[in-house]
Amino acid sequence: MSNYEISKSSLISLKAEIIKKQEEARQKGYINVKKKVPLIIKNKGVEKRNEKDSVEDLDLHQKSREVLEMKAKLYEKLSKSKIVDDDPSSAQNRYLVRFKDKINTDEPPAEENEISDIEEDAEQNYTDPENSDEEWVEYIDCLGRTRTCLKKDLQHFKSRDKEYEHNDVKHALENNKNINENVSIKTNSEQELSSEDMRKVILREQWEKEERELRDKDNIHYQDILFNEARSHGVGYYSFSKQEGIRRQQQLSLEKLRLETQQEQKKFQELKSIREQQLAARLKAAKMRKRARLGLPVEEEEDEEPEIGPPIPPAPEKSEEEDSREKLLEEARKNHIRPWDVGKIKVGEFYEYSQEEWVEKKRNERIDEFAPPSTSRRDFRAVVSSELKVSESGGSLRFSTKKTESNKLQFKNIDKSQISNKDLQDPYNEETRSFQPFTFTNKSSNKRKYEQMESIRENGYDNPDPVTGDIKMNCSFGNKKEGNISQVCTQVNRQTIEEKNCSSNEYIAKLNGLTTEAISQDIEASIEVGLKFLRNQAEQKESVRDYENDDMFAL
Amino acid sequence: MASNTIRSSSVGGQSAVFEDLSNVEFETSEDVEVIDNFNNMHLKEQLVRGIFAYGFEKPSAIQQRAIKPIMKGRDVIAQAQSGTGKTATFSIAILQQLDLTVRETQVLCLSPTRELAVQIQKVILALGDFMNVQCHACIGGTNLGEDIRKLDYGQHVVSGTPGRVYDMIRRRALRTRSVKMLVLDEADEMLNKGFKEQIYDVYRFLPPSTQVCLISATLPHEILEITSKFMTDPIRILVKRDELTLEGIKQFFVAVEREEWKFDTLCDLYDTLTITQAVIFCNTKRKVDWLTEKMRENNFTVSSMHGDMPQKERDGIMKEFRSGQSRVLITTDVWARGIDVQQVSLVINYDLPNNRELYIHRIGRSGRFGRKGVAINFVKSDDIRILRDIEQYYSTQIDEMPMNVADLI
Repeated sequence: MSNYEISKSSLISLKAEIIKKQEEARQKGYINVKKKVPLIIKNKGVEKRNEKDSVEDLDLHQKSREVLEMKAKLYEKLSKSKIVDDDPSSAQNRYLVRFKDKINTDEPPAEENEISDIEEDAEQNYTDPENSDEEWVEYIDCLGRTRTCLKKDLQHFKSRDKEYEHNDVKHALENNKNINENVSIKTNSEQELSSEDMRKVILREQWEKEERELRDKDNIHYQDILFNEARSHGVGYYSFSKQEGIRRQQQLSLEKLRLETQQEQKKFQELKSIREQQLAARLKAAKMRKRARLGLPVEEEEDEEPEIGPPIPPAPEKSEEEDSREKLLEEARKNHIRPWDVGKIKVGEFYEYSQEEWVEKKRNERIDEFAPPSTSRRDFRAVVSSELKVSESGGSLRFSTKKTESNKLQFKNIDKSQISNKDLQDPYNEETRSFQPFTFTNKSSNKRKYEQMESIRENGYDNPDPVTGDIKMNCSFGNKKEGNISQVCTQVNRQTIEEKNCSSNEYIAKLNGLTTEAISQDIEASIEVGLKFLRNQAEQKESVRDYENDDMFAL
Repeated sequence: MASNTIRSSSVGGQSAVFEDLSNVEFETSEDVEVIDNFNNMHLKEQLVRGIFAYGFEKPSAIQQRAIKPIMKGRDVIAQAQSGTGKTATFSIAILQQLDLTVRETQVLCLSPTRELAVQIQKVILALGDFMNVQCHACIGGTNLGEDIRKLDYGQHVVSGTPGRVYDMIRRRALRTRSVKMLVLDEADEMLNKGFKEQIYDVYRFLPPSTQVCLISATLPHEILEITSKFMTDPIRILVKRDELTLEGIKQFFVAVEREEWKFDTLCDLYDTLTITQAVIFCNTKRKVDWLTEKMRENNFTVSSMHGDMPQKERDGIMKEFRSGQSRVLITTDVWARGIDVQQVSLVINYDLPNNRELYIHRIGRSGRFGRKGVAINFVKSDDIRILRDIEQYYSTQIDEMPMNVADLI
């Protein structure tokens, strides 16, 4: 037995209590409250748009209904008119549907009708099979339909057409001006064109005009060359104006719009995150309060939740081995010489002078005595800032005092390429229009010389990462030297012999500053020789102008 | 030179790719990364906008694979089925690599026909619309002086045909010193006998080790062999020949006993032709002229185009066809490769093509970028053998034409 004794009275009082509470609740209206209606979130403006759409739809329906009703009326009128009218200008004969026949089929054939039918048949039988010589012609009626008829009937049909257009089209469709307008405009324009060919001709003229305009235009864009192409683009397509100014404006405003959108998006994101934070804080506070109310100790501060956001994808791990292998491959690719590349000169194959460079070159060819006084030198407009820089930083070079020399040598470098180019033949023989593989001249000494030069040049130009300015200097210095060599070695050969003695790699090492001292002396000597030669050459040039040498494209 | 051999051999096995290739089976390179979203390709923002504006939403298979390596500066050989966005593939990569502040020709794009060169120019301009890229079509049959003037003005990209481009280089109107990339569209055609020398001529004027990209739907083995002459360790993205025909293009044949019956068949099909747009291929220019004349005599509206027409006329016909003004085009193989007109859904081989590759290219004029297409081959009884050969070679299916062919378009 249980320890509790439940008396009848207590049960009753409990029940009474429940009923009382229920009554209370009902009065307050809690119980009958139905399930919460889920809040339907609607996008602003959707309803409005729907309304508008439906109105538009209604309008359209209304219009088509009107037209249909009109048609029905006309049809009824035509089919109901019992009088068979043979007059070609009457309404009955104007339409393609033979309402006369229709009457006959609808109603039991009367005698009269039969007779008239036969008559009519005889009358309508104007396609004479024996008369096949007669030409069929095509014409376009007032509705733009292409029709065929016999030549002799053309006039007849045309006149009928005109009448139809003048009277019926306008009268019958009076109620519906909107549609009517469109139709009549269309028919008119179509009549003017009168044929497909005509339309093509007009289009071609238009395109030609566009092309003529393009000819005078510098910046050509997609819209300029689209020429009515029937192509579907993406939703993001924006047909910019063909006018440059407007185009730029459009692009600017698009850009602005995009920026605005981005800002809005950002703002929204921020707001959202703030709200989320606030919510989290409130929840937490509520929880704490609850705990406090229950007399539980304050909960230990939880670890900060990890930042919500896309998990950072683990960086693709590449083993070092792979990395180095990739590097080696890259290097190998860089150094690989393709068969079709053999004989090409690395950089500056077709060196083009800027105005300043040309002036400078000519200036360097000038005999010093004829030069303007050095004081006026700097004011001269042809002195470019870069050149000035060179002259300023030139102090670090051992042979810095000869700034003009270094420039001169740089330019001579190009002359050299011309000279060495003489050793190379154009693979394509213009005269015979035949094709020969690229070959060097058989003089092996020339070939060797060329190869060495190229390797120097490669190392000189293509040193990918000059560690210090000093090395860079050395590199360019190698260049200049090489330019010098090229001049000298063709004639003097002194330097060439030296080059032959050391392998190109050693040579570079040397260039890279190991024995700069020795080299610089060497170079100064060679420069001197080179200069002498240059001067001679310049004098020679004065007398004999060699135009071919100026053509840097003579490969 | 000596140092080169040392270095390349130091990489071990990889050096093999630099050597003889005549006995090598070419396969798609390993570890070609697949990026299935334009947003993940790290493209310039304006370029991405151009891509979406042009109508691309998701990159096609070739675009997923080839854009990245081209962008990285690697030499790439890319093959993909017709109409799957090859032109856009290299165009996107080109545009990504351009330095728009430098107004010099940085990319040279060569294609076999003038119309194709113009089309590539159009695609590049469209994709680069937001970048304001400058791209010039340097093609024969146009005014030389105008060409020179346009090039002088400075173009980032030049898309042209080899003859005129070479001419422009020799005249020094087209400066090649800043060229970083050479693209050969329809590469197998460009490296064929007729074009190879011209390509070599142009190539000789480019800086050494210029990046080279070859693009085509068909890349026969002998073409892949010679790529080692001007490419360095290329990335290859190839398609096996039994996967080269598209599911979307249904292929049929109509057997005729005599050549004359082909014309009657064509007339019977005319209504089907004009449902959208159609291209009819003949093997010779004379036949194109003859067929056009005969169709017109019989009151059918057709237009025609071939290489003997003056360029202006060719331009006009192209524009008419592109704008939908004309619906039926009778043409030669000048139209076989690369030309993209979205509405073409029917191709008729009035004559069977002279080789298997051309077959793929011809039928590929329809079914552009996922659209449906139909190809109908007119075959005389002795041609059936050739057709069966093609069918077997590409493991495809060419059935007899059903009556309801119009429903398939």
